[in-house]
Amino acid sequence: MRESGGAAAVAAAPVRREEGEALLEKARRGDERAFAALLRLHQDRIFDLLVRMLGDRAEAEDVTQEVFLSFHKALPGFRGDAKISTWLFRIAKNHCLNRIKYLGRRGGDRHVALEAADDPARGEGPEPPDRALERRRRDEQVQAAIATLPEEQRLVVVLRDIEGLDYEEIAEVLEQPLGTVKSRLHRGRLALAKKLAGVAGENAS
Amino acid sequence: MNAHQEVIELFSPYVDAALPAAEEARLEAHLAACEPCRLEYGAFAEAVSLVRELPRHKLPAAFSRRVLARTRAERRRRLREVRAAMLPVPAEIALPVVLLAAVAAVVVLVLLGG
Repeated sequence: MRESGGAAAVAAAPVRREEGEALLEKARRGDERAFAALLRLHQDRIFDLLVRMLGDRAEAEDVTQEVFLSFHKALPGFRGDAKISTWLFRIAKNHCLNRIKYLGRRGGDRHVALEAADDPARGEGPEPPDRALERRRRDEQVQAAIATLPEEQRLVVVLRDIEGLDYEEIAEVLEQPLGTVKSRLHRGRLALAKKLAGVAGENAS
Repeated sequence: MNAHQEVIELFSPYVDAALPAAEEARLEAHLAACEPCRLEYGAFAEAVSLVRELPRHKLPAAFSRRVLARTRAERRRRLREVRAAMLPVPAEIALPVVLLAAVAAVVVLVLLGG
């Protein structure tokens, strides 16, 4: 228990940029331990983005693995002109859009209910069961609303409002102009506001 | 675009605290005076905070072990390829040939010396 708590604390702590760069340099030279450290630092954020984009934990886990295998393969050629997280989000975006296309062609219904997320940030003591259920239902409604957004809008909303990237960073990840990012974010949020009207009040009453 | 639509366009940068001060003041003055826009902004900000409050998903512990096993296997495969490229003949053929050549060289040296 203590061990997993420690790992979570390490992952949650903001890593100084120089530390990240030192790890990256070692990993580029083939140091597997440095690669393992980078993996553990970034994997949950990439996974969370993919869960929110794909609405399915198993698919998201599979794509997260693809992302880090691509990252490992591309490491020797990385020029270091972007932050590692930006680079990883960009790889994740490409794999994610490919998977969405593939799932669309296969015609599967991927809007399965997500299992409860394991979020230590919410752990302010145990929650009464009815409150937990209420929260769970609300989260499902929000996820369902996100799933209805067109991919480009969904991606920008998730990167901004869930992963907390700023506009410039999102533009770098998407390789799109800043204006496009702002407009997609705004359209996406307006659509969510329509779909989620009354959700907070409805669950609170 | 009418005044209401113009104001709605500012909602996103406003929730992100990314509006220039003058536009922020214009938006706030409009919201204070216009109930429909105020309600609309309420719904907008509420949706943004619902999304921001979603719990974060974490990977199971076995995930990184699985990825690292794959990357190590890939690294070994690449090393084998590099070695094979440097030594075009398989080791089981190359080694006896090299040994034989060494023995022959010694024999020649001994004969010449003698």
